[in-house]
Amino acid sequence: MNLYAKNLKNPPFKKRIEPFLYLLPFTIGVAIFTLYPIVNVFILSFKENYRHLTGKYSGFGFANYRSILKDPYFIQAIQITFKYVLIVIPFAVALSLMIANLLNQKTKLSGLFQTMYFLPLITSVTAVGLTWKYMFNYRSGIINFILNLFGLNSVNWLQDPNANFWALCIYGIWSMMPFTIILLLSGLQNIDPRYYTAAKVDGASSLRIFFRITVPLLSPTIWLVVIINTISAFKVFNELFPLFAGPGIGHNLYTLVYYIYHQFRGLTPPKYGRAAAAAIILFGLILIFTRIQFLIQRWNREIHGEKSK
Amino acid sequence: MNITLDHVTKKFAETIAVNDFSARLPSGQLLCLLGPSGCGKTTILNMLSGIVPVTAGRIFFDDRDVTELEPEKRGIGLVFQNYSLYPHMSVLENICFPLEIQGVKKSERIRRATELAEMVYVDNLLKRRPAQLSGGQQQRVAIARALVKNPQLLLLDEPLSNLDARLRIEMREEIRRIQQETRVTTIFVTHDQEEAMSISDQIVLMKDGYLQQIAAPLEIYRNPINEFTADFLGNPVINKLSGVVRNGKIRIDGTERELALPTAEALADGRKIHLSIRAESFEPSDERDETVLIGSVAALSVTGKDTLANIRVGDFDVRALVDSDAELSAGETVGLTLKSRGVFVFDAESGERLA
Repeated sequence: MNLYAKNLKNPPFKKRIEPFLYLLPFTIGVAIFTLYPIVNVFILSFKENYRHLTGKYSGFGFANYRSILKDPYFIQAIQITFKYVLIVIPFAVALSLMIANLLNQKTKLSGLFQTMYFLPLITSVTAVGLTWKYMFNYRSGIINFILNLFGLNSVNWLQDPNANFWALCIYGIWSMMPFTIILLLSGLQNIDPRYYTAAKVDGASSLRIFFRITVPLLSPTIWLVVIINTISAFKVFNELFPLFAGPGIGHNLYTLVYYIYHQFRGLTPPKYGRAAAAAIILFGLILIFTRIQFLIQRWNREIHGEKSK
Repeated sequence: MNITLDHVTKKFAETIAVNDFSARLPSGQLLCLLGPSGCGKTTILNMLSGIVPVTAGRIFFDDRDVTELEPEKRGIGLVFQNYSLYPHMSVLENICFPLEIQGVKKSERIRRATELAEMVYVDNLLKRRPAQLSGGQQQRVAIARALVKNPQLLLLDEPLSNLDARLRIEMREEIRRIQQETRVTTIFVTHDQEEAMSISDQIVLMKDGYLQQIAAPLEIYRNPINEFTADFLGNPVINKLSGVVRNGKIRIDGTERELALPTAEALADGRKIHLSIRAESFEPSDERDETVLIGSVAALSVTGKDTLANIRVGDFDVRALVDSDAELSAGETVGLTLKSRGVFVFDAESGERLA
């Protein structure tokens, strides 16, 4: 016992090193593939006149930042991205909340519906994107077919520069929903059903129960999905390829991540420094935005008195 | 409001929770649904509130058939076992919520809620959230919320089970006080016989889905309808001695003599019975005739005025609550006469009361 206590306090070198050996493989992986690139991008964004073939640069400074902030394409990219985030997030979260609430009602088919809503999450993005491309098709797409049924004119979703942004939003909202629904559903299932019973005995309508009881009790989860989805919406990029094979008509869907990609791959010689600077600005924007949401959430919790728990 | 349950039955899949339950519960009283866990008392409460539909039978509030009526149309207030206060609302908002649903004006809402909060002594906590309240305070708020819309019937589901021992006694006095102030017909569910005995006007005793007895606490204690009722109520638990009837007298198992019991004279010879005697129904005696139980004192514990004596009678250990002045000592052989009150004879098989 005495010996054991002594060993615990001052274990032999081998024992002390052991836990770190277990951590080593993972740490090496993270260091090479995550930490090094992050640090490198940060440094790269400050390197002036960087030549990617030789690795030479003239010095450190804000030249890259200055040049992209003067670039009208970059300003446009920020505007498009913000517009996308501000439209997609409220719709995606509100629709998901409605569907999650419906799924949470104990009906016979709720298991089937849960599977159905989970399906988009596990299907290939490219396959789904191509499907949407057909659905958006001007002449034979199902969306225009339905619009025509209601007597509305066909919309050239993919080629009309006034419409393709909305096609992108619809596709973005749709692809955001499954995961959001799953998270909200698990939040809903954590609400004690007795609150509903109590409200029902008092005669509350289901609409009032939803807004006065469900939504407030679910607000931590709602904020979580808003933050997660905001981060992912800021990074809108993948969605552009299956639908438009690029940044839309005349660069009108030129998003921030597409700008980074373009600086990196689309130019000769590639402007690595500018790409890195744009990436750091994107990082900063996401940071500010999520920070604001976090503060709202905390303020929200404080007025609900949960802080003192 | 008089409540009538007419042959009410509730089946859950395979099990029958409440079986052919008929009762008339008087208005303006504090009634207690008492019984062991799983006896169907909470199911009765839920059927009265309308949360759980009945399988068969009818429920009437006064002359109104409410069997198919929605909970919110029954005019009831309900207090849940864990109170179910809305955690995101303040005490005031919680109490106001039922009025908000009814569309009562905000100023009127606050006036009513404050009035109720004053009655249950939480008027200094109106701005707090439920998480900032103690169990007893949450209970008070839950009662205020249930009473705020002037219900005809107040239902409380195990209202005291989440509280610690001291608070439980305090809160049961409070429930009594609030009921007497408001005069609203109140039904509360409990499995604690002491709780039921101490505050209710009437006890509705249940077992395995069947109604056993409805009576005032003292009446049910003094005059139990069957063996279960006698066993369930009273502390210490009633003494149970099994025996056989011999020539109108009782031979207790393990004894060599007969006990003459005036009420047992008419019983058939050879019938197996249980003689149940309350602890306070013994009296030490120097007599050794047939009216006296004879046993040897195994242990004594003095509680002050009374002494709880463990006495071996035949095959049984009897607990007798005797006056401390009767000087008993362990190992001594003692004679015990039985008082007329608190001595019952039940059929050994059916538990039916024979005398």
